[in-house]
Amino acid sequence: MKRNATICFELPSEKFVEVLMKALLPETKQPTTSRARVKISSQGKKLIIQVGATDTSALRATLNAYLQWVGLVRNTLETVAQREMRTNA
Amino acid sequence: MQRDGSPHAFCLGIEATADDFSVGILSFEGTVLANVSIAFMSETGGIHPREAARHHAKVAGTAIIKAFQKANIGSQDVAVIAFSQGPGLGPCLRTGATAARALASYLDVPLVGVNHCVAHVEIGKLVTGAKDPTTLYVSGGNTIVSAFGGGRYRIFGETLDIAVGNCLDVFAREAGLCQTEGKPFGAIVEALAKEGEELVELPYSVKGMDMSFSGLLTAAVRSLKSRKHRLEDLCYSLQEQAFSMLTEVTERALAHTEKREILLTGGVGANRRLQTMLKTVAQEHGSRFCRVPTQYALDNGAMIAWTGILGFKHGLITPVEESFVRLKWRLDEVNVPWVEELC
Amino acid sequence: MLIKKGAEASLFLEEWQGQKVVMKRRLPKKYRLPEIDRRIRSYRTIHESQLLHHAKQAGVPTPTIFLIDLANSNIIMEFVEGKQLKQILEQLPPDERRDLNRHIGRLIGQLHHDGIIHGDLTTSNMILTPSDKVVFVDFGLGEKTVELELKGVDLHLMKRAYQSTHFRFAKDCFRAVLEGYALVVGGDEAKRVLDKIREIEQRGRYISERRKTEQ
Repeated sequence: MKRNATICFELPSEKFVEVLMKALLPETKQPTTSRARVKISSQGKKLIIQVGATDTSALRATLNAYLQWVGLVRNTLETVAQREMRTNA
Repeated sequence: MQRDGSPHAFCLGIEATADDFSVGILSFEGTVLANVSIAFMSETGGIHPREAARHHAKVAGTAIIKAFQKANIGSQDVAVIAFSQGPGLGPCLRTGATAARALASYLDVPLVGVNHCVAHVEIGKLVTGAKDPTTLYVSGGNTIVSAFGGGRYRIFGETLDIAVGNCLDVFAREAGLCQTEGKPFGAIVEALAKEGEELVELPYSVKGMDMSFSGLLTAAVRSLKSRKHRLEDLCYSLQEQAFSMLTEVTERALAHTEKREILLTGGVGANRRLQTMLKTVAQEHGSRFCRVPTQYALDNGAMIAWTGILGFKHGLITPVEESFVRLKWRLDEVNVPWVEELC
Repeated sequence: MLIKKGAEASLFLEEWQGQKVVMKRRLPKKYRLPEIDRRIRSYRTIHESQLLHHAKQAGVPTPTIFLIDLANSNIIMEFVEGKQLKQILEQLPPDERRDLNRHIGRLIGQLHHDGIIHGDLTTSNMILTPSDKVVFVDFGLGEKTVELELKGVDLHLMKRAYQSTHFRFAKDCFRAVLEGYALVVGGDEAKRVLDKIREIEQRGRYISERRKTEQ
């Protein structure tokens, strides 16, 4: 693995981190290409995604995918949380 | 809050196998409360899995909140999350699966992975009242003739190369046509075909109960490039030829399985000419023709939610950590224990 | 007397020149345009007659043809006494079923060896006579070709028929067919055809174009 990148996300809560871990873990175990590997870990409210790739384009594609998914999960949870509050109120 | 399968429990289903991101919410007894789709449509009509996936990731939150509003329920009313696990395009499936896993973990409810093709049949049965049909499922990605037998939907015929919807789409693109929101290639070809008068000879390729559409497409494109025919005549000929093949195979499967219903679903099922042909066959065999209304015939979240409910009631839960997407998951690989009970 | 109403043709049992014969009538289909309908019916009538004859020459039992009436898309042929394989296959003891399937595989091998594609290999299109002969019928979708692709499709259809209709025995049945097939065409050719079947099965699943753009 010649190209490496680590992204660290600061998230609103530990629950958020836990949900993201669960949502993304299956994807790390079923990679789309043999040219990149992904490791996910957490530290309190931090989610750490480490990507190792054989070349820059594989690195970029993988990073893009995971960034998209983190954004997706964030969006989804925020909207659902709103829905919860509204119906409870 | 009722999460135990009682009448007030709901399932939220996420569909994202190809160009559409869709969220459906159904009650456990089968009432559709919401079915919200947001389509990714590139003007040139080509298929771009990564771009579609990016689109899905962007609109997922909006689609989910719209579905909740439409259904007028709170997130705490959701008892099960279902998602289309395959078959389909990798990047799209993964995006839908990620959203579903997140929701299931966050709400702490079970997750059910659903086969997209099974879901098309199940929602078709739910909304048309068909009990045990021979199904023709025709879309941009699939062309399958199936019927239930021995715990599964068995495939009697399918395409040997490209899907019939893909054949029509590619032809339309080659002809320089442009699809727009609400007017997909299929509808444009159908409208042109109505003005067709002269039948252009094109290959007819039925092998047993399987079909081949790539030869038909190549020949149609060649005729188009030769500039010897009107586009209307070519659309007409292409449709007549392709739909005659589909109808022949469906009729053979119907005769073979001795079922009493024909179920037509998938995007191509919106075509009136195809509907007429199948209706004719159904009448001749004393069978009922059941056409799935377009909103449930296109890829949709409601079908995933409904099939999720059927699976959940039979204990078919997908552990989140094993919820891998299955790009080539075949219809006839899936056990459907809920059907056996009806027979 | 109508003895079978298929999706494509109806079979009538009749007396002709003092013997029992089958009249196969390809009736017009109302759902398709008359031009397409005529073309398909006459093409298949001609083809079927030719292929039934070629198959017989290749050593595969088929009904003898007495008369072809092209104008009406009718074929008058020998009435074959017996049962459709579909009706008896599942009742046979495993050994007999295996032997029968091997025999069928051998017959398919003979067809392919002589450049004949049946085009609709199913257990409905094979008749087991009281003298234990297997007679192949219904060559309407057949072709004369030695193309590997079409041999692959032909056997793939046989496999599909087992999977959809005889799902409990599908694997064993098809394995026996391939064994018999290999005995006739040779191991190398059988392997080539088998590889082709695998390739075909990978294709139809989800459209190839989509897969290509993705990977």
